[in-house]
Amino acid sequence: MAAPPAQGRVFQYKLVLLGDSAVGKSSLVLRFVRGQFFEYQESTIGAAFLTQTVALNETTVKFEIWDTAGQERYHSLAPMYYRGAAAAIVVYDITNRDSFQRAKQWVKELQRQGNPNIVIALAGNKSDLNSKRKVEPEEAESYASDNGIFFMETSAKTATNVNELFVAIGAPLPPACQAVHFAVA
Amino acid sequence: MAEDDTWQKAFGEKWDAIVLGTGLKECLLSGLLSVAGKKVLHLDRNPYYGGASASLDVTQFFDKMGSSEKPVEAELGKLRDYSIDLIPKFLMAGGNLVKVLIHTGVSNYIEFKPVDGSFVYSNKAGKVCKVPATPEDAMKSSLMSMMEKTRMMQFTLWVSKVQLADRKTWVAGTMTKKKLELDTMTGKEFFKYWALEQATIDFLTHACCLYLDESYTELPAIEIVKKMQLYLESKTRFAGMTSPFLYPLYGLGELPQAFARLAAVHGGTYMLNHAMGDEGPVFGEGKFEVQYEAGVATGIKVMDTVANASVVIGDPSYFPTLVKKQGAVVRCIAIVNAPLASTNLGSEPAGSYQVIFPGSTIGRKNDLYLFCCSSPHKVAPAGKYIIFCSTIIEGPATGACEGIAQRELAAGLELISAASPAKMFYDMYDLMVPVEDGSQSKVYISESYDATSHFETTITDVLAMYERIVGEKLILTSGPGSSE
Repeated sequence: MAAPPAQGRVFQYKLVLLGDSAVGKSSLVLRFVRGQFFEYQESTIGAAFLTQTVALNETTVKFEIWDTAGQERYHSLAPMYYRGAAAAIVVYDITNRDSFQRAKQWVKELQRQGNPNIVIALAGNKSDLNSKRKVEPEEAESYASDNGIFFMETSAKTATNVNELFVAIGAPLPPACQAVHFAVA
Repeated sequence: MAEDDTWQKAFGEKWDAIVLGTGLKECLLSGLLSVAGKKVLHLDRNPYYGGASASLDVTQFFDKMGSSEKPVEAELGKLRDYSIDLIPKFLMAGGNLVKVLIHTGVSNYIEFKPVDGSFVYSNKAGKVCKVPATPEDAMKSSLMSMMEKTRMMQFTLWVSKVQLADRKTWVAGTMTKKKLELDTMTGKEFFKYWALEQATIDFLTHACCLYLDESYTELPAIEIVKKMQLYLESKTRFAGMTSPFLYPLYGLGELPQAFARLAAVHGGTYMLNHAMGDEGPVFGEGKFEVQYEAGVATGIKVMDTVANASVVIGDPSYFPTLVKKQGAVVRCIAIVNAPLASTNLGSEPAGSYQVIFPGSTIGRKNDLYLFCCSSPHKVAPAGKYIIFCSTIIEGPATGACEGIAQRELAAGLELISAASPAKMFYDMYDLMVPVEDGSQSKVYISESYDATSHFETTITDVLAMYERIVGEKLILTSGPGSSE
């Protein structure tokens, strides 16, 4: 899925990940972009953003994927981080109830401050740890549908639903969202 | 937050630098130091990024200005569309901040848009006029007579061609050649050679070279040529520019946030004054105490918790006993419903511009500086303009702020009042500078943001601080991973 088709249009979007520390944001990105998973992932991935393309029917979506770089740890993530984002994945850990509450706050914050047309997905990560589950999928599903956002449980460790998550968030992105950069380079 | 992720535990780690305040200068230093492999702990007493160089939402802004009323959508338009700067400045497209943005790759984090216009107030024309810095502009300008236009065009043509690094090119004149000793002749002598009228010299030195006063007359002429070249180069630095300036979408507050992100990407740790875990906000006013050993800083203390580092860096507001006052700035920040008079470009009102009122043309020593930004830069709802007008206070700085503003900013306020202002706020702040350069104490303090309309002095201060802290100059490249 990484290779873009030879024809068809390529649209580029900024996608951000939000959520508490240690819910698996970087792991989801690394699983999606590089197919890797590390049990002890370092807090930051050491790059401003990573890119990955997703082939949808007639178009190719190129995601510019931004990670928090650990700035959420002391509640100090800058609004500039999600400014101009066309899509956001809000992540919580299904074994940590607080992280689900925090995810709801992020959804609210994005709806208040973010791009008005932002596409939001809620991801309940670590679905491989079902035995330690603290958040039922029905509860998250019902919250998501009440707020008009998309929901999926994922596991960066087993790769369950990771590609599906990014494909699903790419599908509703309107081509008009494509950022027009005034390149300072 | 995980149990082991407390701020106290993070304080206990070994830090190379502790930075106080997330203003642009501090975030630039954090970013540059982190890229150089230093471990940086960066704190702020506010719950938002940017310190004195933040952009605030309209509610935060009303609070900051001490307004008792709340912003009303019916009057101001969509409130969420506002992002109001605390220090209004533009980036010179060919200047050093743009070079640092490219060097660090931070230009990729922010979207910039060119600023529409550059204007100057002329008492000869009795109005605001476009700055005629190019021969084409000069031909159309109402600022000069036909003869003067010819002289001015010869002057700008010469300035754009002369190479400051090569003295052999310091020769002017077509029939009779004259060597201009730019490093020894004064600005006054230099302009005498070009036989330009005072009104022309006024707009060249103030609206192009961006001098704030008449100091250029006694200084070596080479500075004038350097500044004029920066203006001319900036105007053609990127395609589609109609002024030499750039401005980021969503306001200048994006700049410190972007450099903070650069620091974080390279391992820097950020703590703003938010509630953490079960505690309320911990980094409130006056809570940072620098720790010393034999006069040399060893770190800081917050509520009995010490963080150790070999240097402490910060803005003047964190070190009230280590800074002194060097003048004060008064300003008006207005939200207006109509474009200011004579700020059209073609048939459309300019959405972003600066207007320089050279001090000498309005009976002052210091210039008055006006800055306007609006919806194309995503800082205001459509149809609203945010206007800043500021200057250095020359008279007594006592009494009500509004009275001082009326006296010092009269020429600018007249223009703003005619554009149906929805709200006008007045504000004053002191310009503070450190009393010592940090080489002994290892406490490195930045200077307050001055009244200049661009970031050139800001970046000069930052690069000098970087050199003092690290012991070597920063070499600017064409981007991360480039070999230059």
